[in-house]
Amino acid sequence: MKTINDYVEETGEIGYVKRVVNVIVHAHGLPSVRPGEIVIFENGDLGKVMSLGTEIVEIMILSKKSIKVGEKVARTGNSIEIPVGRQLLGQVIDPFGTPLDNNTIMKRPKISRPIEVLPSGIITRRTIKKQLDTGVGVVDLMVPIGRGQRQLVLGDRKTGKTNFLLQTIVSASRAGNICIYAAIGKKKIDIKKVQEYFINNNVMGNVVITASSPQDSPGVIFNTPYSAMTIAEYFRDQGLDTLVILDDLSTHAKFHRELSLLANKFPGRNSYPGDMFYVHAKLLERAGNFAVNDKEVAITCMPVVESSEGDIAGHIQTNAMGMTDGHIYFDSNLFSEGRRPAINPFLSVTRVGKQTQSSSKRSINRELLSFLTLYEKLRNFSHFGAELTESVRVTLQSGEKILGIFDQDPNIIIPSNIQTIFLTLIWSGNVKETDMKKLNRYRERLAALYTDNRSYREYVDKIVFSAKSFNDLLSIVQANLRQLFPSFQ
Amino acid sequence: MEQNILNLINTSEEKEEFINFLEGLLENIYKEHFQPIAKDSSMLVKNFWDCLNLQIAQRKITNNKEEIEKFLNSLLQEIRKLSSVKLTIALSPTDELINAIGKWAQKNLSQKIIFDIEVDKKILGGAIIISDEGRFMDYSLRRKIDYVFSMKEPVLR
Repeated sequence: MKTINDYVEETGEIGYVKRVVNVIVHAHGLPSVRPGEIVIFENGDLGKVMSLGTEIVEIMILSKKSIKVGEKVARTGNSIEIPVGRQLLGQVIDPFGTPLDNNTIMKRPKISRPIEVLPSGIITRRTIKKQLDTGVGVVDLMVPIGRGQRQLVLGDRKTGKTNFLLQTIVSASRAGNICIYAAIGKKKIDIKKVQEYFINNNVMGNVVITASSPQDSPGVIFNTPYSAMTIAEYFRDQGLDTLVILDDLSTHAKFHRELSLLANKFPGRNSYPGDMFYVHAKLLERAGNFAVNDKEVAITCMPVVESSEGDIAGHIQTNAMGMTDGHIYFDSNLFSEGRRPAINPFLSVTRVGKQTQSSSKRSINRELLSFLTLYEKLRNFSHFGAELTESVRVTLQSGEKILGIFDQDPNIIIPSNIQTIFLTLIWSGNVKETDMKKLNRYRERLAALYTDNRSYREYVDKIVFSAKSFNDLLSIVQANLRQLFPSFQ
Repeated sequence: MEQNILNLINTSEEKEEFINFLEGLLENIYKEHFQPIAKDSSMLVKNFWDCLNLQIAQRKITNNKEEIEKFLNSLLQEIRKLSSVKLTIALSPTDELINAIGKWAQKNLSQKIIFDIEVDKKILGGAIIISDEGRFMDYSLRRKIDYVFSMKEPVLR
């Protein structure tokens, strides 16, 4: 391994540390250093050049060790790179590609890629046409996500955001996607739980977890999402659809704020620096649907942003909304009412997801939205204690039933076509059962049948695909009740 | 004019000494009976003081303390701005050697350069030069020997 003296001789440049402010170091010298370049200190620690002044170079330390004033610093000529390859699948790694689990022996991939690259241009991008099944009914039917879409997941803490994302990863992995979960500044115990969830669902072989914990240097935490995106780009170039989860960008923003304030950058709104939008936008811009060797390959990105007390008009929240193709809002009020997942379909938006849906599903989406709007209005009206007419009572009962079938246990994945035919069944009025638990248990058995039985799966897919509208689907389902809904003993 | 004074400075230690001396002068400039030169002052400081007096006399500002203060402040700034080069050599340099290097630098680089000299016997001979802006040039004998051995390594094997 090269030492600082080797680098000094190689580059012919040297610098000296003049000032140390927590993780920010000001050095004098290094006349040809570039922003983003990795530098090496006398004690062997690495740093990343943040900015250049007339006489000083501003460096972010990438380790927890302290740097002393007067220490030598040298250029390496490299930017931060991460080893990428299939060996990463199933691993929990830090943002520099080193396995976090000491017991794991990973063959280090031979190829390395810089973690900060320019996003692909317009020529390589294609229209988003395919839907990404999340396995969560309310999302797949009402807020659909396209492959290559950037969909923000927004909500207060402890409202089920991570559970939803884990379900999405399991569903996407089973559909053949490579999933990269970036745990940004997450506690190690939480990272372990996520890993165990994937192992229990037999999808770890399609998943890479890049993780940083609060004990890491802010520089390491800051680089976590970029590293995850680089891994996704590698798999995209191999022709594989990828899903990137960035959990979460509000933590990332806080660490960027910390670094910027230490670097004496002028604070803006909520003390975030002026380049806050740029930092996140250049990251999310790397997702999309791309043409790779005459094939369309997508990087779907789902960044998470935490809101505080239901305030979705905060700085980071609105920034993220501005740079994504929609958002899924987890409502703490719905959560306290007992809805799982606590997704508010009225405050959620999808800008490109609907174009990926089949005409029948789009028709269901429209019907559902207008019905649930009416249901919400009538429900609010019923709170006044007025005497309800028969039609209002029927609407309220149907609304409760429909919302009930959107309730889903975090461990259950419901394929979107099963959710579609099951909703059609409820809508058609053929089901007299009012116990939602029984109904949902039946739906889970249908989902299991759909997953395990190929002929049943093909039959359901054919029916959903052939229907032109919701009414069309209703009549087809009505005519094929026995085949579609077998009775389980 | 100030060039004569600046020529007295060749090393970073001398620079520091002159800056300290000038700062002391500026602090006490309006005090009566102030003696800038103590008995134990170095020969260098004494020379510097003589040179300063000569400059002040030439400028005809001996009795004008405000003008003297301005002059000393501008001189202080000039000294602080002097470029320095870190020089690592294998032997302790003599004053003559330092003067010779200083003169060579001024003649060939067209600017006054002061030297921060470090003695490191491990380099065997020659010099390692590190400029003020961070350029690193290794002209040491050790490097040349290392280079020769690295080139001859296949033969030696």
